[in-house]
Amino acid sequence: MGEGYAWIVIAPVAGLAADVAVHLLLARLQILSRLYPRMLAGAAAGLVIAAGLTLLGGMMMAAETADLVAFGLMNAIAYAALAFGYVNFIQLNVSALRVRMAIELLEAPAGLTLEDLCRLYGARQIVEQRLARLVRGRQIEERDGRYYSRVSGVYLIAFALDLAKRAILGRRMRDVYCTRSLRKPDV
Amino acid sequence: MRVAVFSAGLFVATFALHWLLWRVWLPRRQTQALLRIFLAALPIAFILAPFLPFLEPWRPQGVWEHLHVAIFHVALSLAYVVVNSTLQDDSPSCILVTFLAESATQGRSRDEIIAIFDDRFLILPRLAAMVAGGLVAETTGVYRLTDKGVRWIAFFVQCRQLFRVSKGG
Repeated sequence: MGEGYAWIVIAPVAGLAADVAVHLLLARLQILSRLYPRMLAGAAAGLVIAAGLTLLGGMMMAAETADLVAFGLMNAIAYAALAFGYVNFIQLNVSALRVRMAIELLEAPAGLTLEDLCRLYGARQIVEQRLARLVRGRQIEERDGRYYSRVSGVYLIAFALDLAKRAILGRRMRDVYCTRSLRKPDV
Repeated sequence: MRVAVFSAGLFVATFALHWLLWRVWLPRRQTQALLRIFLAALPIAFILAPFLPFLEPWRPQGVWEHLHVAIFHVALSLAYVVVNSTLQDDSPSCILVTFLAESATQGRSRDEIIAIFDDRFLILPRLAAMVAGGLVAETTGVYRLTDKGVRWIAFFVQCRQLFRVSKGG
């Protein structure tokens, strides 16, 4: 491999570094008030860096078209995977129940019972919060006090996860509310 | 092209191994088991590749090609571990959207939606996972964070402040 190959190899990691740096910069300087546009801007900056370094490396090593396409595809997938992991890490802070429960436990040094946890952050509160977030994000619709599904990002993710769940774990998303026994597992 | 084919083949083979394993045995700590399988596959493939004649045209050569395969494989493996943990956890938002989709044009009322969730279904599996992971300890019905749990959540609290994101949940 030629000299430019090193640039191709580091391109996805450099893209991730640019993604994190731009997101952090926008957050600290409070440019773009909402989280998702900030994350999108970071991901776009990372993509530009990853694609740019891949092209630069390809030109430096005078790669054949087939090789350049293969490297480009490989780096696009690797960068998308890294950026996906990063988005999910940030998302954990926003919507993960485990994180929220752990924060409640951190704020109660004497500990909490299961009843305390349910009272502090029970199903009603969780559902109200999610409904508001999904309506605000135009992921579902609310008309005359009823909620309706629409083809949206969350709907497509739920559909894909349902297929994956069936293939890998052998169960479906709807089992959660159709199968009583799943609703009260043992600790 | 050689590196791309080897990398894709390695990930697909590891995924197939995991899928078959999960059909016959579901580990108690799935995320840890997945990380072990996917990360161990990389050095094993590098060690075995020179001894497998059918891999001759695709095997990576030199430090940079091996590093390229490693970056691709680790990136995809970590992304898959994230997806898999979502499958294990039953995200309330995804369940809610699926429940609404099943109602088609009739929609669902707020009470109908709240009725499918109960406190124990949402809280218990996550608490159980934190107990199994050593982040939380239970004594006579009272749950407390362990030292490991305090370090774990302190990291998230710092990240939340650093990236100025709102409270989880």
